Amino acid sequence: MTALILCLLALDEVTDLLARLRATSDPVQMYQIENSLQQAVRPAHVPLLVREIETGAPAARPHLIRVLGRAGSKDAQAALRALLGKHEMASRAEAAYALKLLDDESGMKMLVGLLPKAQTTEDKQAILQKLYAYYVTGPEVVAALVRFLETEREDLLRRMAIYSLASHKHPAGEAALRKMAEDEKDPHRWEALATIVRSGDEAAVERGLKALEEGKVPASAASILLNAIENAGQKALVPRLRDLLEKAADSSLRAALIRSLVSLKDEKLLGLLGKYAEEADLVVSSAATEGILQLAGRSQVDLIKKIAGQGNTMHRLRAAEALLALDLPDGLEILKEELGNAIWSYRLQAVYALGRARRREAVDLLLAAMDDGEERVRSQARTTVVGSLSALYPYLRFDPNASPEKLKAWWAKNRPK
Amino acid sequence: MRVLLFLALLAVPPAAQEHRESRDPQTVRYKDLPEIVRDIAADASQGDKAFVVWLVDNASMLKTAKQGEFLAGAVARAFSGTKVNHAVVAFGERPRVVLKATEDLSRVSAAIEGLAAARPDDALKNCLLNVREAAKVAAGASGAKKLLVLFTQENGDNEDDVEGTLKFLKSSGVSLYPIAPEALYSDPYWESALSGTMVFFEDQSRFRKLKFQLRGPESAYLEFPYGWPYTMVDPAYTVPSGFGYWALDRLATHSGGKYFLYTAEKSPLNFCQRYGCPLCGGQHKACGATFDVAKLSVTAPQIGSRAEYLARRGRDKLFLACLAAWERLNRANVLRGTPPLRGGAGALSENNRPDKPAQGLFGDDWKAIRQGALRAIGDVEKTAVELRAVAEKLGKDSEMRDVAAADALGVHLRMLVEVYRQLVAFCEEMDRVVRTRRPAASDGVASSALEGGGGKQVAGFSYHNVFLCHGGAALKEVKFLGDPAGLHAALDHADGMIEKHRGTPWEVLMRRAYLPVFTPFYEIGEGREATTRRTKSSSSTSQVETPATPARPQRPAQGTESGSAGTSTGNR
Repeated sequence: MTALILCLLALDEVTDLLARLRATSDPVQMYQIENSLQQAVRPAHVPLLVREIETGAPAARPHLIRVLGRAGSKDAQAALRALLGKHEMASRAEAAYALKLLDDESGMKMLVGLLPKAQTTEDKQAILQKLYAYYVTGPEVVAALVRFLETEREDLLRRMAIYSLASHKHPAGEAALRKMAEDEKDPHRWEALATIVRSGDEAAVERGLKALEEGKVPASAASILLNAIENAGQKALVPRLRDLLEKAADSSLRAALIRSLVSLKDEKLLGLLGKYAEEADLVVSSAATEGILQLAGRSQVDLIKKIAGQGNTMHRLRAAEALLALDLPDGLEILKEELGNAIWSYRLQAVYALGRARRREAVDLLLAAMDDGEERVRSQARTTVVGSLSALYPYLRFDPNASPEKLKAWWAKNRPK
Repeated sequence: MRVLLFLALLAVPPAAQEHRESRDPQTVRYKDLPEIVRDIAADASQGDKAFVVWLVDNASMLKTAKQGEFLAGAVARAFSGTKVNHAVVAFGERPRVVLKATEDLSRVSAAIEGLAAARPDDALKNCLLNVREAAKVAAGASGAKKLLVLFTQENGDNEDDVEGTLKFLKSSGVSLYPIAPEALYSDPYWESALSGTMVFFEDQSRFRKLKFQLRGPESAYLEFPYGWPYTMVDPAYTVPSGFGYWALDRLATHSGGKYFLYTAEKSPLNFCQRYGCPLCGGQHKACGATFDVAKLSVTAPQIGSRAEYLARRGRDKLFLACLAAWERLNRANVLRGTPPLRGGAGALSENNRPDKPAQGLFGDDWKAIRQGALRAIGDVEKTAVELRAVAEKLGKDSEMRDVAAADALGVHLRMLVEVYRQLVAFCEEMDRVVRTRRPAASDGVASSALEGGGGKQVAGFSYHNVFLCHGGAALKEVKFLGDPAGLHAALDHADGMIEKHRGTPWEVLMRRAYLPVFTPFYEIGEGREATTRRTKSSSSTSQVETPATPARPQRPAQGTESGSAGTSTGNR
């Protein structure tokens, strides 16, 4: 009897969630509902889910298929197998992976077999997305990707296939990528080289850097190659990258080099960034400004304040955080001003930054932000203020569910002078 | 008359000799590996002929951080086009020549890369024995400028017959160029490991049996106390000194070489991130200090001999006052680390290391702990007042280094008084909580974190520290236990001193002052018994036979920012 009641209750919840899924087209909400469905779903819900998959919106189908996989019964498995031959490729790929999670490899095998036969870009994309090593492994997958790269010409799809192939770390795949990297006619040779660089191959790193120094790498591929050098932790290459930055003329390449050197924490870059931030070229000056805000120490306080005084709100917010990170309260003034910004996302960023400040004045501002017109700002301010109070009162335990009114009254009574 | 003049010259007073020995350290900072090797190449190329011996430590770092490959590449590039002879010696328990003198740079690079490719050797190795053996290889070159480059990231902090080694370097005309990490200010790492004030989960006795000494600070002896109570990490432990290890610094400077500060890989975390700072959540960007090179040069450590150090420092009254304060608090069981030196009758002498350090105040006898804490407050307050009086009197006539150290010790002692005051307040609160067994009462927003153990028995207490990394003003906003008047005065004092010593290691040292937040812990089931069992099983490892060359124990996290070269505090 109890089981029946529980089942009915769950059925109610699932029915309600399905109705909410049907009513929305917001991707974020769809994922949230999917998450709730995965918690609530039981084997008894399989027919309900199958009917929804057949009759509901195509955009909801992958979500429902994943939920079906979580139902975990023989009926669910049979329903998923039936879905392998129906609907658009994205749903079929989802069904194949859901089956794999239930220890049934047939779907993934079918998917690998479908790769050479797929006709449209969307179909090919849907299959390639599921052929990363995270989803499926084996020499047949590697072989299918290598064959695909030999025949496919579409830019986006080839890139996807390269990254998918690299994820397998299979000798046959690596050999194919090396061959691609050597082929001067292959337009994706730099992406292929980047995957080898990322694996830490010294010769590949040297080859990539030399190509960058000789200006052979197109700007679009330069950032991919530089990113791979960063990921390989090649800190010893910093002086060479800095030399290259000083000689390079292409603004995209220069911006990519600045970002790489910042992420490699090149301490000598700051001297150059001040100059670059003044340039008329917006791509370079913006990258340089962001670099200054990330690297700057106490000696560059004036530079940070100058950036804070300029019109770019994102830069102002980052400058405020940089000032607070250097123990300078000027940052709070900037954040206070930005809490009055007409755009709510900037106000939200200001709230996040205030939450990291853990100062009395920051608590004042966060409590004021609880009256913001935007729910997301109010909600973040409430969460954040409890964290700040816990830091300022280490011997007290705060109730995370305390209402804004109670929090304000408490602060009015206890605020340190 | 000439004879008299000759005799007068022979009888050079010790002070003049001292002056000649007391050169400033030849420290090179803020350079990356290729720049360092280029500087060495420039020095080598000054003469008609030069011979460079590369003494390379084959510890894991050579392989994992690819330092071997980078060094090999840097040597090939920097010496390209020069007519310099090179040899390569592998650092080891028994140093080994892996490449005899050659001008062929490809062979030099290959030899260094070969060392990097070989199995790494992380055992503790006698650094100066290696220096002497490699210097013998360099000494063989006649008529050439002789350079010995030591590349080590792991073994620069030990020593063995420093004076004998220096004598040999000088007599054979070999200049030492260490490429090694920056020393920490009064680095307590080995001393606290050997004396047992810091738990390294290793058998310390094996390190005492080594035939060389484990040291590591930038000066001949530790100058700042270690073994502080209620902290997991001694204040000096995370303070870069701006200089190299004393022994290598002395050998490099007095043999005509230079010490290149170089740390291949550092923690990507800064101090606040590493120690979970509640005030910034790890966002702080000013955990280190931007060292002022001019201030570093006026506060440089003495790199004369140890004998000279004892003779000269025995006359520095402010330094002696700091030692006396340390000694008194060590005797009072407040500071667990014993001072390395003791003064008396105008001279300094070495102290013996005790077998066991004193134990701190722990447990759940709140009244007894409170009494102990009150006694400690009396001891520390008296010592701090006396030290401040001496510092005020002697400050103007003392070396800047001693003034800075006395000021930093003064800040730490005033904060230590507050540590014990917090402990007293905590004990009073816990005594009340245990007696009343009251559930935690909430005012709708907050409740006491000390109440509400759910009726469970309190078994003791632990703590986490809030540091002065953000300065005293930021900490004044935090509500600790009890009346804040004394604490706020101590924090104001700390801020004043931080400002006074800005841009020096002592600024960082003062920012490492701390205040603990105490937390009770409760017995759960067989908790106590289980703890006893764990302690017994872990202590049994000391029965294991000591290998000849043990690996170094893991250093506790330093929380220094990342960077390739220069001082650990990063940018200038």
